[in-house]
Amino acid sequence: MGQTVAERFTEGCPSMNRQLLPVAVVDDDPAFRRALERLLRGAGYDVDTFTSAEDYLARSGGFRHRCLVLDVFLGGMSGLDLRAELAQSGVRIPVVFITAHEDVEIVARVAPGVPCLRKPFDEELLFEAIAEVTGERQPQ
Amino acid sequence: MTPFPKGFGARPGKLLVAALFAAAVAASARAALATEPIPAKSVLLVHAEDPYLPWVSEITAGIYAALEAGPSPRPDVYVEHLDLARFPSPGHTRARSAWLLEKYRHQKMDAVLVVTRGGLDFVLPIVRELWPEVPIVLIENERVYRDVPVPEGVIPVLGRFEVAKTVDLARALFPGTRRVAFINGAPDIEVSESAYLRSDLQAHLDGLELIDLSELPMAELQNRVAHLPEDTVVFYWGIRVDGSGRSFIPREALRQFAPLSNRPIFSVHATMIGYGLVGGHVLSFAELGKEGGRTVRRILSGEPASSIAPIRKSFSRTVFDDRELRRFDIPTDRLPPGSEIRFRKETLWTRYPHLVAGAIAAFALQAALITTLLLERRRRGLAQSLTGATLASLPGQVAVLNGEGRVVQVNQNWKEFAVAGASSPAGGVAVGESYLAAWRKAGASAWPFTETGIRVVQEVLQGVTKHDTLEYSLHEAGRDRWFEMHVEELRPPGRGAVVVQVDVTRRHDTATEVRMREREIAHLNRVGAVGELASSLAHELGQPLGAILANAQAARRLLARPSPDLEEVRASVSDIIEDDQRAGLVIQRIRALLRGEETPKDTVDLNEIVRSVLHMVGGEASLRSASILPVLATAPVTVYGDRVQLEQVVLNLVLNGLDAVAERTIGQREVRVSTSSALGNVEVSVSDSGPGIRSPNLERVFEPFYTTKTQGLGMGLSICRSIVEAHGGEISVENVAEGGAAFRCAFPAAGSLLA
Repeated sequence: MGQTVAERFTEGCPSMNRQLLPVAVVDDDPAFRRALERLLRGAGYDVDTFTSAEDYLARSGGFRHRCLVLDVFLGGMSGLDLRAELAQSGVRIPVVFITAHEDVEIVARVAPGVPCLRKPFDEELLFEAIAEVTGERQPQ
Repeated sequence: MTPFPKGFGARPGKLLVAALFAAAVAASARAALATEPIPAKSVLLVHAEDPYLPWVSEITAGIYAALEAGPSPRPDVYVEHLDLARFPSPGHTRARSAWLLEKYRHQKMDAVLVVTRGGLDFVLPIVRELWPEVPIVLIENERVYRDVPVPEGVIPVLGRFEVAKTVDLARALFPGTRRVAFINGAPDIEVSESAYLRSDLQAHLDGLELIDLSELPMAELQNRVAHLPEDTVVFYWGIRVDGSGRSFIPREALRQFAPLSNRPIFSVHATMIGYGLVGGHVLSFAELGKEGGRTVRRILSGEPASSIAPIRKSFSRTVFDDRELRRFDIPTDRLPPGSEIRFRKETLWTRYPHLVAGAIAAFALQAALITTLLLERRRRGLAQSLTGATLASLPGQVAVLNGEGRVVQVNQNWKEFAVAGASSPAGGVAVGESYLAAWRKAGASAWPFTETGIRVVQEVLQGVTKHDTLEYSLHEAGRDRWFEMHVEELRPPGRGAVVVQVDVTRRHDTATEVRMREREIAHLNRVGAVGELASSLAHELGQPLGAILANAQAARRLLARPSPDLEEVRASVSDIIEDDQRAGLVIQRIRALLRGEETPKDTVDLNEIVRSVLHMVGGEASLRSASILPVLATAPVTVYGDRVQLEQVVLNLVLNGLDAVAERTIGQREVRVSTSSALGNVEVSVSDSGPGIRSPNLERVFEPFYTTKTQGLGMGLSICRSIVEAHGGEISVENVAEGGAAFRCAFPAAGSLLA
């Protein structure tokens, strides 16, 4: 398998609705995933959710998302690993890390400059972070 | 009565001569026997029935008893059990006949004894062919041959089932009787017999109503006999096969329904006494058999068969079961004279009147002797001054009590001691007053020691024990004071006692404090364990809290719209509630450990303990990339104990295991928790894939402050050990062959004797 992840998944990228900012949420906790989807959708984002890094790689639909809201600690491949893998494959999607652990410092070391929110966090912090990494503020 | 003739000791010379003479006669008789043996007589015994039926074996025993009695040698007995009931086919009958003819063709026979008519009908032609002149004795019940003639050359020995008399007996004992319940099995080979019986019974009803409980399945019968009308007596014949086709030994069937019967059961079979019958005029099969045996003996001794008259007798006795008589409140003086009462609970007095009378006399004599000695001793006087000095020198409060518990003498400490100016069990009770009364007075306000204290003193005074002690507390001036009371018997028993009271408040407080410190340390250990879990707890709480906030803010957003999607709002709120409960559970599991107090002991399933601990440490384990494998017994593994403490043990062991595997590479970090039970013991063990314990003496790990870790007090395993031992269990450790340590906690199972 000489192909990189990006080469494998950028073929057949569908056209997208540019009215709303497409955001992907990757988190292994179903309750939290559902809550975040509801919140972002209510705030006017186009949201897709994924249960793991592997799930994202399999179903991302050509990396159409403009932002990844990514849990650090996932069963299987971690959020940090996913970000590294994407970067290595030349896929540049801005990331906002979220976590329930004490690993904010690790994120700061491994992925300097990437925002990391500790659960529970306020919606404003999330929207701010997305706006910061994408440079686009979603009209609410 | 002496077995020896009078003058046995008086004339030894004459006796010796007689003995020598007797020996000479015996020797010559033996010589005669050796040269000219008397040929043994032969008897054929034929049973129609299964030899293991109780009445069959009783008849056989009676026959043998009669044949063995008497001067002539016991005849050779040949026994045939035809078992016709179970093998009634004509093919079997034919083959059996041919076989018997062949078997006995060359055998001389002097008499034939047949039990029941079925057997006679079968063997009669065979006997006639083999030994035409040999007399046949038949044992049967009288009713069978009432309307049928006994064949020629057969001497009948007939017993009688006293059905009518037994019904009369029942009516006499229960004067209000209006009904008879008749219990019998389904018809089998004894059809004719039970038909006779029923007609006998009906002929004798004399105005009584018959409740027919024949041919019922056992379960239904058990139900029916439990609800019989009050004016009923029960007559049981026998169940060999019940209404559902199940076979029984009749008296075993009786045993299965009799205890449920609300009315008394009578019958006519002696074999059934003791199996739930109140009683009856019961036919003794042993006596019937004996009579048959005696008749055979008359034939063998040469009496011509034609001169032996048929025997028709009752062979019955009036027998009762004392236990059943009591159950139905029948006083024994209402039984007919000459009744035999079995299973009597005899008192010592009725059984050994002489022994008991003797013992009482001896006891009285001994008491009189003791009194005399005591009086004698008192007259001599005690060394009063010496005693006084001894008492004064003792540090505690001392009182001497007489046999009734009155204070006879006290030391100075006792006199001076008075709680709040009043006398109390600990002292201050004046000479002449009752010490026990002081205890009772102290107990008037729900003092918990009264009962024990009085018992301790009384048992020594009454000589039940020579010495006893009790530790108790008195509340005085706002604090508890603790006393140790020693009660020592004054010998001989009944003379009185010496009471010594020592104030042990300080010792007691120290012990209490030690226990409190131990509890605190155990608590600190639990808090520490929870501290170790802090990061995984943060995760477990962060997830639901994060979801709650996001859902709440999403809902607020939805509601702010001009036409809110209420369905979506409702879904958000439901999720909020669910997540809140999830967070609550996490806190609940931890709260018990953090709480300092002891929880009440109860039956606890070790499987649940392990599951609960795994919930707590699951997050921690995955953080450390280790896996925890529960290997739980399928059935509950119960122990009587304190849930929180047991959780603490398992939690400590699992956390230790997780620490131990930290050095291994990911994928090989494994902690195994298993439960099992065997032979009244239950076990929970925790093993790990770590490096094992590097110590020459493994047991040292349980000592306080022993630690191999860079952080930690080294108290965890020591606490585990004290908790396990407080539960009557044992904790042990070993290094396992595959590497790693295995900790094993064994407890007595809940409900076992040691628990």
